[in-house]
Amino acid sequence: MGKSAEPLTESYFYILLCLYDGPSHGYGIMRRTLALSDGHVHIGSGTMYGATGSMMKKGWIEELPTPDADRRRLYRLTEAGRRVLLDEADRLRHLAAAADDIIGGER
Amino acid sequence: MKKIKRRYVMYPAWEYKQEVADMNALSDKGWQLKKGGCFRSVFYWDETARYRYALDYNNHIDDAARYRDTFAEQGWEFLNDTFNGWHFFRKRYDPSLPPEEYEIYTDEQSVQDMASRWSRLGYAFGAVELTLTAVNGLMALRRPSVTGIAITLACLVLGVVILTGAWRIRHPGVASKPRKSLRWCFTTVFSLLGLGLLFGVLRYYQSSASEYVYDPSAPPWTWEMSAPLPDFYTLEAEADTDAVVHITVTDKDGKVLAEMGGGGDLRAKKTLFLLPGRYDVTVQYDEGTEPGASGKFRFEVD
Repeated sequence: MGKSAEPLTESYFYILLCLYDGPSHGYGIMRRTLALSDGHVHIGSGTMYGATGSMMKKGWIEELPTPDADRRRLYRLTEAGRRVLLDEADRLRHLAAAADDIIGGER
Repeated sequence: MKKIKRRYVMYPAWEYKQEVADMNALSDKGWQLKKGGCFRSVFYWDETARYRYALDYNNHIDDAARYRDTFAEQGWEFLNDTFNGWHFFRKRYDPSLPPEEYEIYTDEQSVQDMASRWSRLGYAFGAVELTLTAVNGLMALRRPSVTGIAITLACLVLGVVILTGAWRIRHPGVASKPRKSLRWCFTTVFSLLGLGLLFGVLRYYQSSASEYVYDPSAPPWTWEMSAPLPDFYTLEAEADTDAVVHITVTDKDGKVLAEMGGGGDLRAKKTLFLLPGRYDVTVQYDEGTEPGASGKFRFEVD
């Protein structure tokens, strides 16, 4: 399945985004998400486990083998996941552009 | 040797946040959770440590190792899980970190996912309890007993409270004012079940059936009968006669508690609630009618 049926949650979006330029483990995804969102989006362990499990089932990401001594789980974006991410980014750009057309820079 | 404290407290599933808050408060006081449970938790004394705890409900983990590793990556230490799918974690408390560091579910979707995992179970369990209420209620109507009524009420309270809880856990923000804890329901349910069990055992050991056969030619026909328990008793009467028979149950003060009777060959049955004590059962025939050949009573608790 390569297409998201509905908009992604922030957690799903950031997990896919963090994997776009290479594999990462859960903690790395969490730290990078925090940085990318200026500290607004924290992905807790329960949320991370559920989201990564669900995205693996959908075939958007896959787990890579790690050395036995390393308990960290390494994930990689699949082609289907890359497509979902790009579609979602496109959708968000359209939303932002529409908002800019009407609202402009007003806060 | 570490000081150990066992805490016997039950938290309804939908009050799991309160349980976490209580464990955190105990940790601040020096009591650290060693093993969490649905009915009993074990704490050890260590005033040098401070932890923050997390409770996760997940009864269908497809990859247990990945589950625990995902928590470990963010510093969560797995403590134990319970038979019904609750998982206890702890993390060293660092006051300089923001509160989100101690949350395991951080978006609305995953909070709802966890809530719906429990509420599905809650709705199913609540439906079973209401079914048991109906079955036990019908049985208690057919054959009244304190045990039957207590168990019916326990099932009813448990069913309603669990259905309420299943709804509450799915709709955490709907209440317009702070919700009252429903922990009282456990006290009520266990009290009712205890009462039912006690009376069930007493009935079993004190069950009695007293049968009296009387001679219609030798009035007055009054018998003293004993009720060992406060419970429902059945009085069955048979009289082989064409006469109209009246049967009365009175207490020792002469107060009439039950009356039954009828004409022809009497076959009557009456269930009545009696406190422990002795009671008189009296048989009378309408004047001018002929008592039959024989009659008998059965007065029983079983």
